[in-house]
Amino acid sequence: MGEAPEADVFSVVKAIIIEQLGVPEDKVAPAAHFKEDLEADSLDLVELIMAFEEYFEEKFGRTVEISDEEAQDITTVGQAVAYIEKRITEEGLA
Amino acid sequence: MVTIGRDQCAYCGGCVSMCPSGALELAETRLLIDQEQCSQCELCLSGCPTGALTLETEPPQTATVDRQCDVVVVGAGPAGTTAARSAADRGHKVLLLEKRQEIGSPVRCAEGINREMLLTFLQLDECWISARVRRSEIVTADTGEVRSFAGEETGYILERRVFDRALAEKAVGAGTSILLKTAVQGLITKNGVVRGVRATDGHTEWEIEARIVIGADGVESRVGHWAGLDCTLRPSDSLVCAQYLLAGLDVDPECCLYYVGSDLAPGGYAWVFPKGEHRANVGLGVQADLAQASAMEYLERFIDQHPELERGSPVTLVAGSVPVGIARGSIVTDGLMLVGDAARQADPLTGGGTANAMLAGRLAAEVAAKAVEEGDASAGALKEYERRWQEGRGRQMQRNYRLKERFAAAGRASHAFQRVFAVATAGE
Repeated sequence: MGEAPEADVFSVVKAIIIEQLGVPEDKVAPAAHFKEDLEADSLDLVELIMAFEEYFEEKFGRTVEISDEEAQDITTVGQAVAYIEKRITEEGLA
Repeated sequence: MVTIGRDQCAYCGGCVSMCPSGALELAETRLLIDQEQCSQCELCLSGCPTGALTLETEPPQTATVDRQCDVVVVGAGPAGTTAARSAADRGHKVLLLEKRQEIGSPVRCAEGINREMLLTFLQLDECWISARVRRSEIVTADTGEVRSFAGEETGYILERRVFDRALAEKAVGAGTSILLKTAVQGLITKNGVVRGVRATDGHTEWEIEARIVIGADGVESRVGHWAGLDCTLRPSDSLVCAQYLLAGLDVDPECCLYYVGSDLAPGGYAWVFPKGEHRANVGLGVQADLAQASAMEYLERFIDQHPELERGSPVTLVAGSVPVGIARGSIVTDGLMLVGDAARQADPLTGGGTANAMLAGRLAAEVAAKAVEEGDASAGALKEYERRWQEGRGRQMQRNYRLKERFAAAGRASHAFQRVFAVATAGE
């Protein structure tokens, strides 16, 4: 059996964050706040959201749009993971 | 025969008014002489305030003057004046060279600047602020979709003619010396290390020896090229722009308008930046490799399609290229640093470059000051400037370049690009 889905999504999100924000791995904890702890600005967040959308496209071959309103509620790493897991369930991709 | 010294001529027309035979004509930025009409009366010589007119029988009057300083800065735009001021503030002897006869002119800029960044450099002065921006609208021409933003004061539209002079005066206040109408013609190198510049003002050849050279000579930078740095802009990294200052139209003085569209401005955008209630910078930039016509033609078309703009009348027309790439190689070498547009530090998404240029100018000056104090101006020592840029604002510019590349060409009408562009411009 593979890894639990939560761990999988977390590692994907973590890898995206490390690549785009150029932050050290140990800073990317579930409680880490994008703006305060990872020093991301608004455009970093937009780029992250686009990377999450691309993840759906690449992993599931499905276009999943994350609206601006939903994006605004994603302020921590943990919230991003939870949001993506929720969408995976909602879209029946689990 | 009367000849004109192109480097000295200030295009004032004084000679034209004194010529009894009508042999002289002042074109836009050039004095022309018709030798057949000229009666050799020499009256024009006495009417020339800069000594640009001479009789060919006279030997050319040039002298070579040596000069020494700690830091020589080439170019008196926001990057150069800020670098000069910061280096002089630290007690170093700074010489600032400007090839034009007037700092701040011609303005080749849409003049928007982010509030937060501006305030880290100087206090607001009403004399160089033409509008305070509280709102913005992004119109996607292909779909007709409009995104609006409103809130706090996020930025200003500057009066760059005045702003650049104010920056130059701050530099002078800190102890900088300025030479106007002095064009740099090459670098002085010793054992492969840059040790100064050669310049001329038409009368005098300057051999200026300096511990550090800061190249702030704009998008058309030659200093970097002379130093062997790779500064060539790819067509896809060049936003070719044309802009009118239109007067006599009604604009919201607090709102910046942006128009994106694949036919309207391929790879770029059009802007209407207010400069008060009845005047605005109306301009348009296109990516050099995507444009099917000149930027001017796109701009005329854009204005034709907007009756509210067509009502205005042009007061000035400016054209220029904005670097929307990032430096491909290093921006420092032994004894030399590049800053501002010369170092390709403008925002790849918006083309905004004034605040970035000032930031880089200050960083470079701090590192230059340290290099002078420690007697080490090697590339290794000056790399600290490049590192600090790349770890700070430069990282954001890298990110913006990634975003720009992602939406190259056709993707610019997409909803996703609008979202990116909206966030990128919100602060300007």
